[in-house]
Amino acid sequence: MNELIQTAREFGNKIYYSIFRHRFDNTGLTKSKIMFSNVLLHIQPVKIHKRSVKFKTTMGLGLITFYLFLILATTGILLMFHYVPSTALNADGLPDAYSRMLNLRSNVFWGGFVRNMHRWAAHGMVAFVALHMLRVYLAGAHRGGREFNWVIGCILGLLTVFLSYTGYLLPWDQLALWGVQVGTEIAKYAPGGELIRGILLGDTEVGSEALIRFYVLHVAVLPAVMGFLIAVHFFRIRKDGGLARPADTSKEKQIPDEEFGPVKNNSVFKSARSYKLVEIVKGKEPKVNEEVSQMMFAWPKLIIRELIVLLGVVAVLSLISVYFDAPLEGPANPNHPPNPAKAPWYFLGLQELTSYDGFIGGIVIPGILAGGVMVLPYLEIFLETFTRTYRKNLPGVWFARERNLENALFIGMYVFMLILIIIGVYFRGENWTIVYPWEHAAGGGH
Amino acid sequence: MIKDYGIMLLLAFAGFAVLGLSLFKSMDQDFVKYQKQYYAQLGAGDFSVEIRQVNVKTPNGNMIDRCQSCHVGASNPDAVGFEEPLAAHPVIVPGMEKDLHNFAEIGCMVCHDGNGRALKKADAHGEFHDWPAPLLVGKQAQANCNRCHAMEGGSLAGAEEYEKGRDLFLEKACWGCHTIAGISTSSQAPELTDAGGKFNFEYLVESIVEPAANQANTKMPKFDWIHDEATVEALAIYLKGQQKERLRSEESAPIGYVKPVSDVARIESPSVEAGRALFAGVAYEGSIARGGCINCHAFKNGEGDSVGGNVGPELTYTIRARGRQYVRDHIVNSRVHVADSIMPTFKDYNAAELDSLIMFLSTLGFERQASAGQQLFENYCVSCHGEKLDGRGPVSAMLDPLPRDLTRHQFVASYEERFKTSIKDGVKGTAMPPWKDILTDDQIDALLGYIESKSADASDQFVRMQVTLPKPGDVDRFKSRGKDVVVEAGDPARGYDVFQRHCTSCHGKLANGKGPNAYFLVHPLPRNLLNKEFMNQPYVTDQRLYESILLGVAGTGMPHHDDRLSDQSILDIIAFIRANTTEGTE
Repeated sequence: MNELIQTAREFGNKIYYSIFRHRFDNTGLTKSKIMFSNVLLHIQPVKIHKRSVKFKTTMGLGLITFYLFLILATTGILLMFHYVPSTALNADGLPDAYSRMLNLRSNVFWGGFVRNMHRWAAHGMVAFVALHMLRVYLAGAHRGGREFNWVIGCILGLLTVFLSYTGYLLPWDQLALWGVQVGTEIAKYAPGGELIRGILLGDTEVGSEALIRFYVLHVAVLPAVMGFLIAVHFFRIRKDGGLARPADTSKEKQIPDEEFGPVKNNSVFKSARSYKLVEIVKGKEPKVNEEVSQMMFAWPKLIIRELIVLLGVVAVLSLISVYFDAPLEGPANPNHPPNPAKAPWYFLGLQELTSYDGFIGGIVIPGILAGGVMVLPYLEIFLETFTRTYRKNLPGVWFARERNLENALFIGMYVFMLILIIIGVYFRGENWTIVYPWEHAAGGGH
Repeated sequence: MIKDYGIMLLLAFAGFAVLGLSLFKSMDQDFVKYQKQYYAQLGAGDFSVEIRQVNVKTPNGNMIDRCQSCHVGASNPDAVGFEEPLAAHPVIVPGMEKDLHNFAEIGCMVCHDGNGRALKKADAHGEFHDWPAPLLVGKQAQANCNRCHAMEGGSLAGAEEYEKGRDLFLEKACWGCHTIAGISTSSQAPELTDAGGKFNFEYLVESIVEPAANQANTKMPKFDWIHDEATVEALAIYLKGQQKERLRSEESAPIGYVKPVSDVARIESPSVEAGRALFAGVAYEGSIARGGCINCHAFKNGEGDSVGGNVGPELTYTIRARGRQYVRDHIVNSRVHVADSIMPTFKDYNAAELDSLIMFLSTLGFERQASAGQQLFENYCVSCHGEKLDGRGPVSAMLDPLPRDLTRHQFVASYEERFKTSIKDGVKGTAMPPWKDILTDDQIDALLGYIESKSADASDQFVRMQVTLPKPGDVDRFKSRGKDVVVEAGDPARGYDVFQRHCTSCHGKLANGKGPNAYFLVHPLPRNLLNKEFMNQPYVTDQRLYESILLGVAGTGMPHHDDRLSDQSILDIIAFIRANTTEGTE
């Protein structure tokens, strides 16, 4: 009998070790193995700087954005099982795409909830991309070898907006049609804008061709590009030396070592990371000269914290989706424009600018902002190099005194856009005249 | 570390709880609750809760109708007296024991509109932004009888409101301006053949009550017979029933329409009584109402009070002023006389009907024995020119050109002689009739005196400059490169170029007086230079056009051009205008 149990255990062990290559004990070796023998965890280092898991360092903003992307992908695939990108009219006079929305809200089980999740996550992602960018800049984390990753991030941000925007058309209701109509009208002001608009819409107006193009962009092209760039973005974080931090963090208050869990038999890993080669190399690589004493095992602290963020995002988003329905208006009707016709909220700042001057507001200012922000770290380097003002760089420090001017300008830009968006969403009524939000429920823009 | 695990477990729990809540909410829909209530009330022990969907067969496919998931007792006679939404539908055709409409086949949406796919109340009733067909409640649903039953005429039990609206549409002469295929042909106003398909009930009600609410530059008058909700609702129900998409077929809606005799009955022998009936828009000896002039035109009764609508000119003196032939032609097509008239064309009247109307109009007339200018003005002129002489009388709003504003002293002072001829002979191409057969010369002088006394302003000694029309061979006012040039005869082609450069902002590219700036001018509006009747009357001479262009018209929006246009250019413009309005040219 005992022998049988012994044999069964041996068989079980064989299966276990064919899947996991390690046990879950507290030795340093195991903690390392856990991290690098799992495809999902291996993108993270075995040892992280204590600072990285502090809330203050990142506020989890980038992570939240990434989780929202995952939720969007999941709910989006569920929605794809039901959605049809067609404007063909049904017997009741409704376009196919739109009647699918009505079905989602009524007889498709869980359909309304999944759509709500997708909608609110999309808006949330745009917002969190903006917050993440603000965090990175104010903490100076776009410098110190991370300049290129900042550019990738900016492209990702633009992609997020474009993804959200292409999805905005798909319900094919009044909100969608006219929101997209307004957005593509803005494109007309750009040189060559007519051509870009034509390629995007496949027509001179927003119609059935635009719907199928936006659909393919939304479900295939943009997510694929986005997924690839996210991978590059994450990869660069590690290759650029992990999260931005000052060279010397010994004076900072850190999470106590006990909080990272006990480590047994750690003689080898006590004062080194798992890979020692780069630590003895002199050079300008970002990974050189790491503070070995501040490094702790990523398992389990980092992973738990990441899970906490994931669960938090899911819980909050689900709660919002249970209680707030995604907007849906009447079916798209090209002959009946709502007044005012508003773009989605993240474009309302632009629409507000365009209402003053089409070319300057719709193209020049946003172009300068988007382009300028993208090359911002290089602009800083350029100015510093040519004016020979070498400053002490303090990546990872919030509101560093040396960077007060830059930070103020960056915050100013955010406040400027935010005010424009608030005016656009709440204070614009019929014929784009100023109204107070409590006087008239403004249509569109959500 | 322990704290982190705690938070994680808590959040995991919360996450699953919320996801569970979402699943619960998806299962616990309103219709589930209603169906349980319904079967409990019926006392049925064995039942299953389900989405009850009717696929309504239409010529284009199936219409999806899930209304009876909540309105579960609609076709069950046992559910009479149940609470909404469980109650049985009341019998539609009055007096019938059992209704002929089978809701298991036709659903609810066919009659009541709304959003058949939805299962939540607000969604299903179409109570959200821009839903094209919100729920039609109660009587309003009669609009949709027309979807299946032919109802252009005749009578269908249970559709009383619709029929009331149809009678109003005919009686109040809505048909004079609005086309509904099969009922009227007119191009005066937007076609209403698909009014119900395009507009929702609220919009129709709003547009009837306040025409300018949805269309700022509408020409539709505000009618004074629209004063109670019942009238408006009936009319709106009728209009809501006008839909291009029909579901008619022999087997689904067997009750159709047989053309009643009254539809084809016409007036055969002319009489004053027939004319009166036509004018009033009421049925006459078995024919349906086919007129309704009184909705727009007023006349003075025996006491001298004006009765009727304030849309078109008052007709008390019209036969005497204009003559029978003119009035007759005007009824058939008013645009031969007044180019911008909004009056509908009544071209399907037969000779007897026209004669009847003329006979009726000939009986009108109210003599005011007066010699004082003010009394005369108040009797004859006030309905157009207004009590204050400002050209804003009660009927002025819909006239085009607008009645002259007689308070502008500079204008009155400029054209004393022209005033007299205008009163005597009328102004062709406008609503101003000739008064020479009604007023004596003395009375006209008294009127002129009154107008001058009201417009005179002692401090403003305005004298219009005297200019003469240059003839070919004369020297131009403008020198070219320092040298005198000789004027040649006007050339329409050159005139077209000058016109497009200098005149279009007010007079429009087509010279029809509808340029972009015309919307900002109030009174008077720019002249329609294509108005042949006006341009070809003897008083509109080249000399007058030259004066008006060169010096402007005092008291109007027409500016002077003496600093901009050479004599040659003005002559070219005149030639261009003349070429547009000469008979036989386009």
